Amino acid sequence: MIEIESITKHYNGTAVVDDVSLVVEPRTIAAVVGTSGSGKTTLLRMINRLVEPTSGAIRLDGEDNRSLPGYELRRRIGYVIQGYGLFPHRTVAANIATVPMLLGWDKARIDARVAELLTLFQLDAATFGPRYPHELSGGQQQRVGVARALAAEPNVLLMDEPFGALDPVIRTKAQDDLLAIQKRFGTTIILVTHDMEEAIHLGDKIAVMESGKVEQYATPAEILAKPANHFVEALIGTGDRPFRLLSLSEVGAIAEPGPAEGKALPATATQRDALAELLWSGRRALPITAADGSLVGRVTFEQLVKRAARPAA
Amino acid sequence: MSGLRGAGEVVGGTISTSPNHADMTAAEHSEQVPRKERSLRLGLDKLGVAIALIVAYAVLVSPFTTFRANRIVPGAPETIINSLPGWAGAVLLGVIAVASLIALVKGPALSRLAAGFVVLAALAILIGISAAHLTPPGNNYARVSPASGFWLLVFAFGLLVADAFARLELAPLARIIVLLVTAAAIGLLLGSGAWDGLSIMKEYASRADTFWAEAGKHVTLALGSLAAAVLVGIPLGVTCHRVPALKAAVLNVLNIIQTIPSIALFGILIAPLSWLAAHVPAAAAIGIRGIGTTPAFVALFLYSLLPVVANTVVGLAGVPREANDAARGVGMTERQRLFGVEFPLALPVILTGIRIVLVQNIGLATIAALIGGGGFGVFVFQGIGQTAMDLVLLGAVPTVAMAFAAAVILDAIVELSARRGRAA
Repeated sequence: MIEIESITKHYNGTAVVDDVSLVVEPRTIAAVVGTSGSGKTTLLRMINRLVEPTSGAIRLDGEDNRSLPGYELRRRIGYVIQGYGLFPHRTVAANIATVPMLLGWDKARIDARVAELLTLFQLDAATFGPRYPHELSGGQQQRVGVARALAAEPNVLLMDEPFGALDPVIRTKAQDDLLAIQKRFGTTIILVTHDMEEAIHLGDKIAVMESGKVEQYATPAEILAKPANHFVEALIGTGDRPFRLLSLSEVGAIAEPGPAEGKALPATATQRDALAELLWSGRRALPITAADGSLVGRVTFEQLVKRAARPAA
Repeated sequence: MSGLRGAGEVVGGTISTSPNHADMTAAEHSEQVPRKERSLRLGLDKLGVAIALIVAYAVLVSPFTTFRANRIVPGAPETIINSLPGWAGAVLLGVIAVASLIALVKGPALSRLAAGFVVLAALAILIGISAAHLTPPGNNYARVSPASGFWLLVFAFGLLVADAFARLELAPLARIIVLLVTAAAIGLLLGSGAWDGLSIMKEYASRADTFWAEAGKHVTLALGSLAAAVLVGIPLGVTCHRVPALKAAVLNVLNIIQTIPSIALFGILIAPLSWLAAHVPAAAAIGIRGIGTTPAFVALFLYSLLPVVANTVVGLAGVPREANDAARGVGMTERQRLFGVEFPLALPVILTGIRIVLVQNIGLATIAALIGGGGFGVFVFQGIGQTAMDLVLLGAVPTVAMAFAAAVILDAIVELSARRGRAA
């Protein structure tokens, strides 16, 4: 659990982060969204004390983050930045081993952990371990960056625009990989992004920041249904609102008995995917299948349209 | 890809900035370069034209050797034909003609390299023979020395060899091996006595013991002041990088020192060093004096500081911001970040500064002789005093050779250190 309590940061008398309080529940992802200059990165960097707050306190699992020297605190918190910051003079394996080395793990344990993480991120340990970062593609570098952050099994992972430099296809894949890894390790993640789509896709809760203040901190559904003010509404984008709402739930949740023709969708697909498929194929309903391929039911156009409407206040 | 591959490559080739594709290993990449060479069309090589012009001037206009009845009278210039026995002159002219043709026409770098080396080897051996040929038997006063034509030929074909090496893009270790082999060949020629008839070797013969003592002083001055500059300059550079306010002040002061002429700097140093020697017994005990080795050492040290400090600052500033941010973010202490991330990434630039200093110091150490500091400068200034150019050469040639060898070795080290840290 991460508790941020009335945290404020002044630079030359201007508040960059202004009296922000948030609680991130354990094993969840909190996405911090805002325009550039909104203070979201500064907020993130105060959690691992790369920036020291002017006032306020931050507690990790109940413990004040000032109870340790900064560098020891940071070894216990994973950190991923835009551009990944891989050390160009160290191999992929040595990059991933950075924090375990700093913590003084023995060599066998480090080697095993590096191999485990490379495999987890679908990189062959024997091939990629000895390579240098400049020999990797952008997507591979991003995965190594996340692997390095997770190497010492931190409870908390801080991510600053981790997908910002990736092209859209690889970005979607990397986001799904992150969700899978978060479920597997139960890591608490705070992710800074300027992309509302990404925040809705990844966040269990979303904090919308502007001018150093948190305008709204709520679940994606609530943010979409009841934006706190015009700024939040503008950030969501009114044209995309119904589709973003649909993207939050899976089709399996609304499958009903009945006949449907044509290509089926898996139950885990989002309702937005289902609507898109219906619109594109000109159908009124489509079959839904479970993971084993068996028929679960169908989803109709009318159902989806109803679900896309603004929820009652 | 046609005519422009020439002199420009001398610079480009030694730094090797070839970009590596993500999925291409370094070995695969280096194989690609020679392939391009094969597609060259037949045509004139620009550098080759320049070399041929120099060679033509050297052979047709300049004297090959100078003959003097004794070491200080003006000499008589001799052409290649007059300097050498008939067969040797013909061989040398033939070799030069063929090699010039190879240099003139575009062709594989390896054959250009071979042509250059053959001429240089022929020149090295035949200049010794010309000494024996020109010196009357039993005459110990006559002096035969290489003249401008000889030096121009060495320069022209040295250029050809350097250019061919750059085009071959040899690995750093291979370049060092070539240097060692060349040094061994020169050592062999020196040891065999093939050059003993040359004036410069006659000067050496009468000063063999002081030569090696001065060589030792020269190396000590150059390397010792470099070591001191590295020990002081790198921490100073790190401090300047950390404290921006200090940076401008320190670099400006070092810049001003760099502009003081060396003789003036010696003069400036006499007063404080004499005072130190007179008032601090410990200083006098370790040999500090107003003139001699100490001011020479201090001056070289001061001149060395600017390149070391400036390159340390530039190298550290060039470390990617993300790498520094990540280093802090993963929990490195300031010291761990400095030694684990900043220094390794700044190393190629810092080493480049050290290379500049070493080559500069080897040359500058000659000046130390002016104030009794010793070194090869002793022969240079004695030679100037006696108008004995051979004696000047005895001091100058080893200095140039040492500076050249130091440049080749440090270039190789810089390239080796840059190879791993190269960002995409």
